Amino acid sequence: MNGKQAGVDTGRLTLTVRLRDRVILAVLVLAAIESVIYFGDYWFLGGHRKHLALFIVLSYAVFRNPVRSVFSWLFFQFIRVSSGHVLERKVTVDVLTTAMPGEPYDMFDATLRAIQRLAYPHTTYLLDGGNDERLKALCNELGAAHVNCRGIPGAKAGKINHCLKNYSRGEFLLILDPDHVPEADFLDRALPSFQDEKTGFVQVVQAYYNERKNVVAHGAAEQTYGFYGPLMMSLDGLDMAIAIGANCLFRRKALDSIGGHAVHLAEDACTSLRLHGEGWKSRYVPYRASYGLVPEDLQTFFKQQLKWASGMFDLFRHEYPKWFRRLNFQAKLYYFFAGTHYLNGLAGFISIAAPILLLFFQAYAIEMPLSGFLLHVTPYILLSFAINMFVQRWYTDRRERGFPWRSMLLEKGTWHIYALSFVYTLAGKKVPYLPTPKTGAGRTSLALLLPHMLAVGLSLAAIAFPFFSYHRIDTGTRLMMFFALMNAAALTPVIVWGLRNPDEGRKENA
Amino acid sequence: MKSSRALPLLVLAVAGVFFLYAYGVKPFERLALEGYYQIIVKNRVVHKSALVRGSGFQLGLYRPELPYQFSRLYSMQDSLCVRFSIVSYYQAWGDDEENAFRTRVNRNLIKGDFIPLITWEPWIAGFNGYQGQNPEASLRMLASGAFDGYIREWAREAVRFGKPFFLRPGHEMSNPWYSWSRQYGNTPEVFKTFWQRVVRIFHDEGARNVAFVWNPYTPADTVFYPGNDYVDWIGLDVFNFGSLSEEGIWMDFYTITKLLYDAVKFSGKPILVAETGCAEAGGNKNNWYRDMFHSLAAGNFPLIKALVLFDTPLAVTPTGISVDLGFSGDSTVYRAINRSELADNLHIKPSIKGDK
Repeated sequence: MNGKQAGVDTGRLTLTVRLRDRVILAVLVLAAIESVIYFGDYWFLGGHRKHLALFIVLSYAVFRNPVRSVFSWLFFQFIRVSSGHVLERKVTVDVLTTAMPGEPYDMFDATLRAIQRLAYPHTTYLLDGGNDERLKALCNELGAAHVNCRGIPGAKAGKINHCLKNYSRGEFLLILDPDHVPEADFLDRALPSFQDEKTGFVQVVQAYYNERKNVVAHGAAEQTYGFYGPLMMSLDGLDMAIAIGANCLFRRKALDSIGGHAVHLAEDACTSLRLHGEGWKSRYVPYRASYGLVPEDLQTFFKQQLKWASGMFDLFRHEYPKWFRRLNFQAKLYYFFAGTHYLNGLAGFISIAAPILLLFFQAYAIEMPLSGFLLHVTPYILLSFAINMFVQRWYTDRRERGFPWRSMLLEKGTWHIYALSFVYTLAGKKVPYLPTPKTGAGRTSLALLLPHMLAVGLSLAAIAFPFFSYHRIDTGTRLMMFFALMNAAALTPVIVWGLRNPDEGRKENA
Repeated sequence: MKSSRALPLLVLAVAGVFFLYAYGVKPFERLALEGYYQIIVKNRVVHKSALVRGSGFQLGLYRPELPYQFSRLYSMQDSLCVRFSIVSYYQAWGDDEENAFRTRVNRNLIKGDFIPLITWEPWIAGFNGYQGQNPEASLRMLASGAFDGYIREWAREAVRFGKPFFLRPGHEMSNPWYSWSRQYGNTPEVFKTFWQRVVRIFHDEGARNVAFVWNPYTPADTVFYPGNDYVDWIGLDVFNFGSLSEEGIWMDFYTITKLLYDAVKFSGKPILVAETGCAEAGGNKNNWYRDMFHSLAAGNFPLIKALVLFDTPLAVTPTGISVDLGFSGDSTVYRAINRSELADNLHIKPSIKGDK
């Protein structure tokens, strides 16, 4: 961590991490951590507990986010923007992209042409799961290699491994999602980070060209801004950037050391875990080297989240323990942090169900004045907001800055999907791999919105209930009514988004 | 970073964060709360002068089930056709929750448009370490500041409550029943020091809403009077025990009150009859109450601005005889009272039927 660094061009703006930024961030983070303790002191030691078991359950839902925030704030202390390296010798690079039957031909046409325009000398492979004649012809025309991957098991990773074993001989491999159109200087920007022989892979920004299409796309993209911005830069500072599947450059030797690309529901995260376990470093280059698609409707978004959540749960259950001893301290911490992220479904369920049940059954988990709750939670909310706003200076595009209300509502409105994948995992049931359809499929099926409608309806009923049937509305009741009201207010917009045709309310494109 | 090196560092950092919390954040919170109290809470207080309502006369009630059950109070209002505006209850000093300021109770009273009259009894026996003991000259301990913490906290809660109310500490200071009385070795000087200390603490905390009611037991108790600066209202306890009294004579309201009234009127303070009741034995109770209201309406006692009925069948005479002081026990009492007089001449707020 040194204070002075040259700026790095993301393609949209120049990023720097100055000493002053670090000091301000450290002070904000320290204050924010104190604010979490302040809130915890009041909640746990203020003598408000009424029923131990209910209190524990409720406390989990309330404190999950503050505690996780503390971890992400701590990671921010290691932020670094990478650049300035020079790769001294010429290397061989293979660019791999995959095709599945049913994906639109035009997309491959655009992507393959862009790949061929990459300035750095490279060989292009199209790994075709359908062995499509038109794609073969396209490859011939453009001078790319067409690999017949029909019947190769293991989804994307299986095809990559098939190609690695039988065709590709490059020292470095760029794995691109077929919907991502790379910039011509992609390789020139990313390859220098391999100067250190211990660097196993280099990840670049994943940006989207349809993020302003509608509020769902915008929200889904918003969820990634912090990740591709300050969080990945912080992980880079710890030499452990995470592979995201798309736009990742691998050192072939590194992939070989773990027996090829991992075949897993969360293949990208799994591959990085194994590589970090093998002792490889990884880097993040905050360059917007390609633009892809983000889900434009709730149905697609839910599908994508279900896959990711189930993948991360599986990773946490099966891969994390296996590799635990071989990970260094910060990797142990980070993969724990990432592996438990999707438990937010459980917290979401509790935070919605608890006020409803407590109000209807007149059960008391906690007796706390609403004013006291608000007074003690406000410093945390303000400071975490301040940190969120402050680290936005490291977002890779100025347009990404702003209060991320869309992504917050969207995350709240995906609780049932996360909870579902948690239940799948507990039951040991496998979620089938579905390639994420990325273009608007239409309206969201009502079945996926029903839990929200039920939650809003029951929350409102639970708020009304005490007025009719309670002898006295006391402080604990008022707190629960407040929670229920917040839930109803947060879930309603998501229902509206789901009912709306995703092509309505179109915004100007990026 | 190796795990072996990171762990002690982490433990140290966590300890540092908690240390900072305990010595940097928490004290600041206390400071902030104190600032909030001094700047905001103190200034929200409604001044006690609001308790004096022009020419209007205020009627109050003590009943054993108050301030928790109001059905009897409401039915009495309906019978008398006037409203009670004061509800009287008794609270002892001490360390327990029941000894603390009863914010919720008092808020409920205000919601019902009642002013609390709190008789605040400085029993030393309620404090930890003094259980069951009522030491001689207990007021000397209170006057020395030993229980200032309790007084101050009570005062602060009263300020947070913010609405005007009557506070009657150490009432009947020559009644031998009470540990703060002369019979327990509390001299007038000690009583006055004690009283002034309590009032000063309330004043320091900004309790401008608290009206201090100084309440003698006999006309001779004026030697306990702490001075006009420390008293807002004067309270009188007016009981007729009839043939059950020590003297064995039936005395009407006017006669008893006249003695007390003449003794205290020098102060010029508004007067509140904080307890009043009549026994059955030796006379006509209904007429006693009738004459009481009549005497007040006739303007015999211009300084008396309020009167609280001590309505309980479970009272005891000073000599220890159980006595029914119930006002509402017999419906004939309402017929005896000239109800239009209450509203028209005495200017007590009329009640609307079913006013609750």
